[in-house]
Amino acid sequence: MFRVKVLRRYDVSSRFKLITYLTSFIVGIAFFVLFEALLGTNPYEVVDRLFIRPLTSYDDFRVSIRYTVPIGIIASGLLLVYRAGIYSIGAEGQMAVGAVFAAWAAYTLSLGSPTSVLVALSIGMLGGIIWGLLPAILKALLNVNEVLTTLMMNFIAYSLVDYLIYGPWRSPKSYGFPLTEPIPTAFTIPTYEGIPVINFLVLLTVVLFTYVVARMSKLGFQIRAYGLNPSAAYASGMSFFKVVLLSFIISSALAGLAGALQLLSIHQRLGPKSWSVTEGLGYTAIVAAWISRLEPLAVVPASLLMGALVNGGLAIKAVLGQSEGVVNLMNGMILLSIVAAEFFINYRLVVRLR
Amino acid sequence: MIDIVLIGNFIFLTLKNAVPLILATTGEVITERSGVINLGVEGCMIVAALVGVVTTLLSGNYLVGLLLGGLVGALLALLHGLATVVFGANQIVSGIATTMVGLGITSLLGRGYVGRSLLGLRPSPLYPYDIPLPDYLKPLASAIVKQDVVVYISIIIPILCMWFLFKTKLGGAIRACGENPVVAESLGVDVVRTRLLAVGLGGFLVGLGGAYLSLGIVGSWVENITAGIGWVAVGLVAFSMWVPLRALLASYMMASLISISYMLQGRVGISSYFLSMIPYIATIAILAIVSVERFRLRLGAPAALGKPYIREERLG
Amino acid sequence: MVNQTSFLHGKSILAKDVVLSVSGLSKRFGNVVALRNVDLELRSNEIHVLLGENGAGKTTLANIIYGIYRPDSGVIKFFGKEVDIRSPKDAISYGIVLVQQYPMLIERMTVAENLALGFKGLGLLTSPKNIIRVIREVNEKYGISVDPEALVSSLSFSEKQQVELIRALLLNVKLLILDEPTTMLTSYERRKLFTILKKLVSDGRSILLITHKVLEALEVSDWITVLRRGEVVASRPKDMYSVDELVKLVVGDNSELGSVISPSKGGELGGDVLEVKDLVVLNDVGGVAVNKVSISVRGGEIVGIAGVTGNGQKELSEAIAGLRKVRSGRILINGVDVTNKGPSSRFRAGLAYIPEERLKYGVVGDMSVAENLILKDYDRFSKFTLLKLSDAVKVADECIKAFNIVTRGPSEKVKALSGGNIQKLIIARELRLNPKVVVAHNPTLGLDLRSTSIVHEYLLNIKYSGSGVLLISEDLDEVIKLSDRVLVMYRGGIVYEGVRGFSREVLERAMLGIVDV
Repeated sequence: MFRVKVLRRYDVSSRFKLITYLTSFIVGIAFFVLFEALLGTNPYEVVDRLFIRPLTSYDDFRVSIRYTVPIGIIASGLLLVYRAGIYSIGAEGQMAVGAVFAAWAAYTLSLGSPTSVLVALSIGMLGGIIWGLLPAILKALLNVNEVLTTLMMNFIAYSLVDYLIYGPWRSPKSYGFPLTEPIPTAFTIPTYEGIPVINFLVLLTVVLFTYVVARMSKLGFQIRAYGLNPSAAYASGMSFFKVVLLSFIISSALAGLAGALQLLSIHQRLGPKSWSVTEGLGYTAIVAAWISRLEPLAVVPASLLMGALVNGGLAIKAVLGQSEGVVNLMNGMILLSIVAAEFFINYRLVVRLR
Repeated sequence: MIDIVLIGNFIFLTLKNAVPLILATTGEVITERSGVINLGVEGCMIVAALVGVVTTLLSGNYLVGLLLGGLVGALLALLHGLATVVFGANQIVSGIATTMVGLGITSLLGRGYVGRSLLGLRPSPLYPYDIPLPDYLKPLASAIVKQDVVVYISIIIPILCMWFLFKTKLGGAIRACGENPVVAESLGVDVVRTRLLAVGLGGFLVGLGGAYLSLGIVGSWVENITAGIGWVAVGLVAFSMWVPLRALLASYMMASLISISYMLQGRVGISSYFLSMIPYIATIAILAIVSVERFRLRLGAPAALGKPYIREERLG
Repeated sequence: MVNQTSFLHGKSILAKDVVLSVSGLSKRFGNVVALRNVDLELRSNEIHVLLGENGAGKTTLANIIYGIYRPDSGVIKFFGKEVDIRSPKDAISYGIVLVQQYPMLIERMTVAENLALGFKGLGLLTSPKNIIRVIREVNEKYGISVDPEALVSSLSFSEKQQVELIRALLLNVKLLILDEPTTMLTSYERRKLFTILKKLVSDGRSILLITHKVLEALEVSDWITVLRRGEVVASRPKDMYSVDELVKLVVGDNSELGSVISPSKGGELGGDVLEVKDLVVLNDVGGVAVNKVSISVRGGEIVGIAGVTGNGQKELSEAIAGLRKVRSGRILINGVDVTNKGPSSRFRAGLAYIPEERLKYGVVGDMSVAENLILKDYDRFSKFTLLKLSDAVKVADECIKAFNIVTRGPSEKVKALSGGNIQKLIIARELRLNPKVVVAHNPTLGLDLRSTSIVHEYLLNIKYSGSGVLLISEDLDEVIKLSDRVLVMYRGGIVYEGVRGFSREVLERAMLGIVDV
């Protein structure tokens, strides 16, 4: 008989942590590839699309970066709320509403660039904040489960977008497709060779901003205290209301910003599911935030990685005729193995023969 | 004049729409009573919904579909259980991941089944005959009588779960794990095994609910068929104060709202996109109300809800 | 068979009577030697007391016998056979049961439901009610009076302890180990416990009772083994000890540990620093936990609140600290009304709080020593909205020196510190804020003797410096030792108030609600 002992680890080196997380990431991917293989897909093809091409092909990289930017911006905001022990999964809805608000600005305001873009981005952030405010206030005042409320807000946001694109905002020139008019050119953000360079610079700025907030500011200190021990943080006089509200506002503003950026530079119109501005990236960003171990600077590599994987996943979908679910499945498997990996960092197993 | 047919229709729809909610909420109550939050309910439901359709088509019997749907729901829930109960992973993140896996798998595998009709394979009314009653009562009576067997089973299950949770030793063990796993272990409960059992059992009920969604309500496989119903069920758990019988009531409340929003479509001047928001808005409202009540009554969730427990051997 | 005086005949003859024999047992934790080459023999039908100071290694020994720890070396024999006890489960299967210092029961379940959990005689799908009859039988046989259908949360500490005894009996215990069972009991409850224990012994079971109280050991035992710093210094029948000798054996020649602080009256009393007026506070389930309590503490005095656990002390201390809503009444700190304000308004008004659950309310275990030291006044370490941790590290270095906190440095995580050092850290943080009044709830709970006396010294120093102390403690000895005035809390109310010179007897009666008018 085997006997498995579970022993707590003390003094875990950061190198060991890194290796464990990387391993768990690879395990998650491996499960995904295995699943694809069971479906009859050539595993080499899957690996090629997911890893090799995004890393070796400039064309692939150009597309990947389009996903990297929103994933990174949103993940930067999410890591603040996650650090506070708040599990918001509402980025998807906030991103969608951010895009809707930015679109509204583009359709109704007549401004010249670059003011137009700045205004539209600000209004997009406002949209994100508005969408995050209800769950934030409910959490801050009544401790209402934010996982559920933010998720419900996502569904409501989807319905709102559907209402607009099938209803009042539907373009008469879209051949019956539920699409809106393209936004005026004054509101578009240019890309260079298809690479959203400006967006990427925004991402880097956001990462620096969250680094300062999370690691160096008073708010970051309060957030961390609440995340690690809410009772002691409260007993020390830190305001739960303030911590919840501020971290929520920052994260939903960033999600709104991501939505507005995607709209103004990449999509330039609103559309239904497969053509939507969000493309489920609000959920992928959750995975990126956890991959980064909630460390602001680690968001850059994490979002580059997830951007490439999303691109690869969508390529698999397109080339092999699979469905949207590819990315979801991959996300889920990576996330599951990453959170389970925590165990191997905190404990070690000793197997002995009885 | 109130339209009796409309009311009958409403009751019929409510009883039917409540089934997945009742089963999923009750299942999640059992899981959470053991101290484990399973946010993978949506994922478990949708996988079960697909498996239900596929196996019903293959076997020609919807009972097989329901049962296998339940089993697959339990299986996916146990994946979450493996991560959280055995490996002590963050329950919330793991649950979200489980849902992602469920949504992804069904979207991939379900493509070939979209719109495939179940023909005569769907659960049929237990009593399809005409009811000898005056016309003004007939719609009401048939709304209640002309349901399929699962509708009635879904009422019995919460009652069974009441007995199971509160009147049996095993139910006590589950509750003990949810209150204080360290003490439970010292009292002789195998916490890991008991929690896995509660996760699996809860997942089974959630799976039954998911399978009924495709077999009994929609009648075919549709991508994203759950559309948040699983999450709504998780919300109802708090509203039910972790008591199965209250879960039954909460589900009927939510189902009546869903039925109303469904019946209003095309009848009033509100866009169907806004009407479809009703269950989600209602869930937020319910969660807010429950939180106010909880503060007032100081009634709480299982004390150890969401807290991992690792049976560790001390060094030495 | 039963031979209480058989020790006179030497060991070899008694081999068959020896229930538990431990030989050459050693255990180290890191660099600390907890047990060194311990030998112990426990005979059938006897109450064997393991006597020693806190930190002498008693609990470690009990935990090894119960399978919670593994020994580094040594042999344990049970009924003459060598046994390898790897877990509490193993121990229970041999018939060894440990009753820990704090009841291990599920509060929101009934006694019967609790006891059914580990009861092999019940099927998985049978009702816990089926065990009620068995419990009643046990109750009757041993003179225990616990209602099997009562909710555990409604029971007193001593009743919960009795539930643990029933549990041991249902497990068919052969060797019962009790770890400091009397700390939280009144004299009356203690006598009742001892009566039950004697019945158990006369019924053919053996008991290993752990205590640090010399008189108690002499009162209840048949045999006493004295443990000091992990070593057995004496092991004989109780009649072969004198009280003085026993005290010397326990304390050793360490005069520092034996020293008793005698609080003098101190300086002049200042004004009221804490006023609690007609306070009503609810408990977690909405019942009244604190009922119209009025307390005032003046600068330069220590006011003690004694009482049996669960009579509203927790709710009272949490209400004063701002962790629990007040139903009615007022709380004034240094003249400032803070009644339903948050914790921050309280420490700004001059309140320091040493919580009972120090890991829950006192520190953030995953943050560093320096960060925990500025947990309340981090505002003073920030410029614009940015935090200057380098300043915090300087302060931490000072605190570590001044309060003798044993740590690897300001950046070590607090959860790596021992209980005593965490408590020193909390006291350091609270005193740095120059409080006018300190509320301390069970400040020495779970600390070893050295840390306990350090904490007591700090509390006295606070008093001498002119601030007030409200000491809410369930350890009556501590309250008597330190307080200038004592209030006794019973069922949410203050039933007795006395000034220095109080008799222990009167206080104990008051703790049971018996007040002579």
